Amino acid sequence: MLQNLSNIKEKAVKTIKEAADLESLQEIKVALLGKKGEISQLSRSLGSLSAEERPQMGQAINQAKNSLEHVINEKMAELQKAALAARLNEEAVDISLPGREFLCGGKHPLSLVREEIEEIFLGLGYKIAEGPQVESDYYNFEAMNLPPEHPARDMQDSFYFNEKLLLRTHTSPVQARVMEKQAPELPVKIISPGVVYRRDDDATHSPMFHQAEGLYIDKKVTMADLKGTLLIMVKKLFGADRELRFRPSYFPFTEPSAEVDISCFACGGAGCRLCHGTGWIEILGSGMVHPHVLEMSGYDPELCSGFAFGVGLERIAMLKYGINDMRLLFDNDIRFLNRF
Amino acid sequence: MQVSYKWLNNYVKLTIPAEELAEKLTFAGVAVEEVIKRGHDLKNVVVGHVLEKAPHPASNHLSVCKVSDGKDYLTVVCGAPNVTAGQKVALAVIGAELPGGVKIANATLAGVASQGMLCSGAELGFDENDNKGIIVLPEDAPLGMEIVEYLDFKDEILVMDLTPNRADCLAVINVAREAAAVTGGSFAAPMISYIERGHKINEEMTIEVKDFALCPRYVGRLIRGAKIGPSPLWLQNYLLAAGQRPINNVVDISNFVLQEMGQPLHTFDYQKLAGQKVIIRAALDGEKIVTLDEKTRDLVAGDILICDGANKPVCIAGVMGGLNSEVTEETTDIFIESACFNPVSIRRTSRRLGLFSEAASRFEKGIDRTGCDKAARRACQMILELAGGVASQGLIDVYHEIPAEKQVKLRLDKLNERLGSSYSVDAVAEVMKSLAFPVIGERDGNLMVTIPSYRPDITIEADLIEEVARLRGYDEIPTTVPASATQGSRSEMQQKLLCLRNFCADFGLREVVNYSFISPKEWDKLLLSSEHKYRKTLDISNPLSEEQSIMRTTLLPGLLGDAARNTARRNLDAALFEIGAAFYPQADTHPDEVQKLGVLLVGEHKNGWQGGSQKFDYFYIKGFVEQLCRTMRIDLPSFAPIDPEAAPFMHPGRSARIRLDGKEIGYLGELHPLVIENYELEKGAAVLEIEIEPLLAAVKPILADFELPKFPAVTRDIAVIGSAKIPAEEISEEIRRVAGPLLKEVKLFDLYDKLPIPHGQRSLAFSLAFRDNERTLVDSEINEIFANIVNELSSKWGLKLR
Repeated sequence: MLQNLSNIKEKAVKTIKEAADLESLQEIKVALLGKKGEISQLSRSLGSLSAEERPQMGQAINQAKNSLEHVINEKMAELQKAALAARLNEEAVDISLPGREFLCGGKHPLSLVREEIEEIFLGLGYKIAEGPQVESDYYNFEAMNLPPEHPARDMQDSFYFNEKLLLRTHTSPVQARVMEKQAPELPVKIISPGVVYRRDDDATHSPMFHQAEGLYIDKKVTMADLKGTLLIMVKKLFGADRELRFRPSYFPFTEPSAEVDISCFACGGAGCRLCHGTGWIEILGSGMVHPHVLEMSGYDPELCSGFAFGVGLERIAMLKYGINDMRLLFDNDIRFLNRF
Repeated sequence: MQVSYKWLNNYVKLTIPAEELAEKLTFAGVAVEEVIKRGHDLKNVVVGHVLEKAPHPASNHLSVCKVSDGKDYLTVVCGAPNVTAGQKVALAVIGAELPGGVKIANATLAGVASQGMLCSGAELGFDENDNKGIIVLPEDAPLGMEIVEYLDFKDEILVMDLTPNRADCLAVINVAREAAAVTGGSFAAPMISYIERGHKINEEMTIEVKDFALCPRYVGRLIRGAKIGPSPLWLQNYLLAAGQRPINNVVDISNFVLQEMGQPLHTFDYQKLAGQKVIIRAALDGEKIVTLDEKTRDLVAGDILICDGANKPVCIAGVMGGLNSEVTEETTDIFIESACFNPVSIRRTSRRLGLFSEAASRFEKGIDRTGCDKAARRACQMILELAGGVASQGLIDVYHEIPAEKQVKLRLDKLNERLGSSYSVDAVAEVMKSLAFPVIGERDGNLMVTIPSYRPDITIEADLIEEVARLRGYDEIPTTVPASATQGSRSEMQQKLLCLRNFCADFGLREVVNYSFISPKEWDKLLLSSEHKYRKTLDISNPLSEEQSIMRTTLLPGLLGDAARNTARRNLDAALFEIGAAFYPQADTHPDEVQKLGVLLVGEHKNGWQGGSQKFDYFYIKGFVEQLCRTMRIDLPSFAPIDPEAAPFMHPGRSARIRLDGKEIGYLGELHPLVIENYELEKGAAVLEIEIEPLLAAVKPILADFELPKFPAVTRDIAVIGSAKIPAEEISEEIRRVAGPLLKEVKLFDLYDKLPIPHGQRSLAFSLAFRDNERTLVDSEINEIFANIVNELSSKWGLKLR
């Protein structure tokens, strides 16, 4: 009987090891260890043995059973691993195939630039002020020190609705409205971004465009402060290496006035196509708020002073993103928009 | 304004090259746009003598000339109609270089070898406008002399880009003053002196100014017996450099003085002025005058006229002279007008007539009223010198008042406070000296400065501060960062608007920017009735074109234009949004500007190679709105059927009005197929247009007063069949109402209307979730509620359980 057990075990180990898959292994397990299996049948025949042989044989059967279970489990683990490997292999995809396509949106470059400038000035403690696009002649011109028939009105050819009402030519009327409301409280620190309109349409002018103007009025605000503030802005917008150059200019609402150039970010100032060989790019107009403007809006120019600047968002967007034709900004071709 | 570098040197000795001067002026605020070289590139162009002229054997409009350059005889083929034997000409010989890089080499023209070229004034760069034929030189021009030396026109021209405050620099002497200030040179005004040998002018001439508001000052001087003829070369060169054409000595002198002093002059033929009198008055509506260019001009009230003693118009003051009083070859007696006219009137007249003369452009910017007589005397001196004649004694000077020189106080501490600088009194006084602004007193750092009459732009202290800043150079101003303890922040509305823009972009839409003005033709394309509210627009009175003539009342035309343009370029699918204002005129008050969100979805979104797509239809755009509301914590709006009268551009069965808190704030849905056709879109489109303010006002604050439910929910599905006309939302509302508070969620999960469901009917399946927060629900109570729902749906609409 012991010999028989040994034969069964030897044969079983061989069959187990040869089992091809989990199913046949399960069948082998049942045939060996199941209720009607060969080992169970041997156990059942223990009764026919003598009292001395019985425990010895019983122990041998148990050992064989345990040993076979172990072999089966090992084989099962091996087969399971193989099956998993086979499944994973089966499930493999061509990873070079493109992924699912989702709608991909984005903001207009003018919004991106506007938000970037807003963030810079929010960080410097400014608030954002807005106002109507259809403006009165008073706020657009007179409050900006441009009385009727002032020759400098030619600098800003306007779209009119009637004698008193026009499309604002700059966002400066927002400044006048804010000052008027707040006067004489200090400080005034606002950035006013928005749509403006001038009666101009060619390759470099759009009849509608966007500006962001800044205004800071407080006690003893200096032109040096203007330089410092603008330097912060251009470094954030165009890189920490940028330098500024101030050229005297004229705006009716500032005195002194300055046009501001940045050192060319394409060539670093050596001169290239972008800067027309000069090393400098004109980006904005600025100056110290004209005393008349302060007075008209309720501030005493003896007690406070301020600076103002205005930057064209189209220009910044074009420089920043390498846009070479302004008309693309209003053409709304999705291939262009998809760049942002 | 173009200024000759040579001319400038008459008043200030310049030791730096023109380019350097240009740079210095630019950085002092008198911008020089460009320095044009005149006569610089010209080589091997000499005075030639045309000895013979023969017709070209093969061409009718060419001639073959034998020309001497003083050394050799050359054969030159010439195409100019005015060439004749005996002329002295500008001969470009082989090896010559003309402006613009043209090189002269041996050439064969229609079979005849040519050894040079005869040049026009334009080809030489001498006179741009002289291009009708070759330039003919005086007979005494020395043969073989380099033409640039003979014509003496080598020069540099500073093209000024003047700001409106610096109209004073429309005069060469004032540019010279700036040049002196920026280079440290000293300025010398032209010397004016001559002898008046004629009669007393009062006996020969009368001037009457009717309205000093139109003509604050009028100076007249008279010269008799002058001889009209060509100007000397130097004068011609100065005018050519300034961009003016030489005409004759008297006209050229008046142009010279205009350029030199900025004072426009007018010269009349004294004999043509009836009654030897001029009257300066306002024109009457309907008056006419024939101007120098032989055109009849209609005048209106407000124009300023110079009339003769018979009250006949002889000149449109400050704009253009009349043909009837013009100085001609035969003129001998010249009445010189040096006046000051109302800038606004001149501006209006010149604009209306489209006459933008050098004179008008100066008058409209305002001229120095104190300088009128100086300019008249300058002209007299030059006419006597160049045209001869006798000057009458004295002048007639009619004026109401000549403004006195102003004094402006400049406080050193204010100056340094404004600029952030630390200039000393001496530094500031030095700048005033360089400008030749007399400082009449100085105490404790306060300077009292006299402002010369030619600088009317300086009226207040800030103007003088700018003078110091610009002449010292803006580079000297330090760079500081203001210290300020303010908190920068977006307003609540600005913050929400930013979230809205972010949402749209993140959802997959592309932001567009369209013009606020549109064409009135859009309305027909949108199928609007003639009375539709969108047609009540704010109209631009001076639009650039009809396409951009009315302010938009809806964002739709702009978005549809974008879609049409993209479709034409074969970008057939697009998901666009725009945030912008629509404009609504209001009787008697400022127009309303309403911020709107517009979305236009054209075609579909394809998922990629795996196939499948999401069509941009009613449900997509509605899903967008619902998602927007969920994301931004806005209660879902209600959707009501569209009114086809109000929104004829929408598909009547696939669009809806959006209501929030009982107020209609927009619409959404699919576009009407005819609108799709009108904009030539190839695919269907869904749109949304919604007012931003009420939408964002409905944003609720975050409130997370919330506990996880302790008891499980019981879910049941219910599918009912019935008329397809019953809105799904009403059914779910009814379920909610009948079920009461235990029902926490109703969700439609299936709609089926295919066979075997009868036509006109559909099956709707909802999943219901019940829960009580205090206990576990038992089946029997849910069963009861469920039964009530089934009963109610059956009795209300005849819906049957499927």
